[in-house]
Amino acid sequence: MDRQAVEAFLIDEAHLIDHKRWRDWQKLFSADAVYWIPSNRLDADPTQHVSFVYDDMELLNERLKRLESEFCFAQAVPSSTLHQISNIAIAPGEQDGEIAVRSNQVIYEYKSNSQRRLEPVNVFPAFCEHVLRRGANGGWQIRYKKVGLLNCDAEITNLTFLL
Amino acid sequence: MNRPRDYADLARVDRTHVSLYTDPEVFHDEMERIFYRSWVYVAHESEIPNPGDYKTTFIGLVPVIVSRDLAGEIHVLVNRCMHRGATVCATEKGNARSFTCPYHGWEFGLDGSLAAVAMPRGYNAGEIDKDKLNLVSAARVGNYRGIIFASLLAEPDISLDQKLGGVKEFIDLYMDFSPVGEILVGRSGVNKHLYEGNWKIQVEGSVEGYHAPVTHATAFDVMIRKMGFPANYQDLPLHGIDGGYGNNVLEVYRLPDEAVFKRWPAEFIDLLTQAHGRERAMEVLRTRFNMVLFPNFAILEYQFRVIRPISPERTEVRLYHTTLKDVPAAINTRRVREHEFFYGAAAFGGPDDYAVFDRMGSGYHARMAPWVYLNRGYLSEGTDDHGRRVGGHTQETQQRAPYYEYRRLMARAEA
Repeated sequence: MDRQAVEAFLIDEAHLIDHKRWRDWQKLFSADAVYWIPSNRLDADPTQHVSFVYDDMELLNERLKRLESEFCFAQAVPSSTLHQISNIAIAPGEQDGEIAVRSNQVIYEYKSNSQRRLEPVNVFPAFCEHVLRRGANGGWQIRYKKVGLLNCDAEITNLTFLL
Repeated sequence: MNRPRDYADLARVDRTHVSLYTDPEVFHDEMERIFYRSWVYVAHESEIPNPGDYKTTFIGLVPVIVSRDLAGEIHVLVNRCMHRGATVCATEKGNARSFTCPYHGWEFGLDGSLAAVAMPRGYNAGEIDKDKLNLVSAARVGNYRGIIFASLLAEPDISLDQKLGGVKEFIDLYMDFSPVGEILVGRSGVNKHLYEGNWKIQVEGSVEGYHAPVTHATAFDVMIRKMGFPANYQDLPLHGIDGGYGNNVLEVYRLPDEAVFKRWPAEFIDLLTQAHGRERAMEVLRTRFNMVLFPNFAILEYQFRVIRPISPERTEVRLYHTTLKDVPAAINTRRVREHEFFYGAAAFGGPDDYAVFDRMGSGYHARMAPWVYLNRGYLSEGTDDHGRRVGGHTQETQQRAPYYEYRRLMARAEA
């Protein structure tokens, strides 16, 4: 997989999130994948430090169910997102056949149709890491995704959308 | 200056007036009468374990430093240079030998004493009295099981022992989750939140037994299906307790012993049994509660919660995750995972609360509907063996509790 193909993959992944095709996005992950958004420190050990998100695929599935329900009140006014992707670098992964991808992603989030009005566009710049590998059907899968927010130690109250 | 307000009429036994959540003059009175002149949480000892360690925080609007001097003594200092007023420390936490103001180099010791000023020869004799220019120290500092409280401007009219008397048994249960009775606060993560609403919304919300199945429908769904949380939550014989002086407790669950054995590995139960004895160990593991220590502090399952008023309609809340000292790493990993499921900006529970708090902040501007009702279970409220007011866990005894202390403190004239 060359750099151009990796870039196309990341753009496709972001497209699925930004167009709320969450179940298609979910299918990009391998069954043993981890989706991680650290809090406070990007180098924290997730087994001994609280993260914003540290999902295996079972918990990610519950997360999507919650987003799809009408009782996720943090999304009573739903978020829309836009991912801007750049600074892609690829390297061999730790395991055979895997590719380790670094990218900078700026995620914009906006709540439209809010009675409160005056909603800002929230900006979440992130150091992203993906580990990709070939799935059984020959396509590429995400085995690991880390979204390292630049402001992971900031006052952040609502990250209940997908990054 | 202020018009005198009848706080007993605004904070009634069964309801509160919306002006208590929006009015800047009420907020001013709260700072002066509650936050600056009674016991307020500032830190846990484990945040500053070594000589020279410090953390910065706030008492009300006032920036403070909590430091440990080289002799190990803890100080609570107002973070304001006595010369021209800049804070003398800019970082959230760290280790230092002294605090030096970046404006004119005035240097203060870990105990707040003024050690040096830059270019001292420019002062003539009599122009500065160094002994009177130490950082302002809190009038009183107290500590119970590592939890540090301070009263900023005046000796409180009750001792810390009195203040905590009605809830100490719960603090002890929380600490005894560790075999050595000690916890570590904040090293395993801090969730930092802001909402557009008054600080008392979070005081009330930290012990809310009524909202859970509604606001947290999506979290409870997962907790019941996958985490062993009782499906008949609202029918359980649990209580809300008024622990006195504004403190209060919501019992979240009491596990039967067979559920304790299912929930915790045998080795961990054995470890606690060796440390505390069988019955005490089981009591620790059976009980889960949320507790508010009025005005700015709450302890929930795996967190120290610190409520910081910023303005009448803006509040910061920090959840300092807690881990247990001297337990297998897997036990603390579990505290990390279970906390993170419910709390934090991306979690399944907490963000829904803050969305509601923002909406309350908005709704409280509807002055034609001036009352916030806290009367659920008021008519059936009883007292327990310790003489504490007690009601059902989905009722509102525990949320009425802060307002007894609120009325008592707000009735005092400013010094």
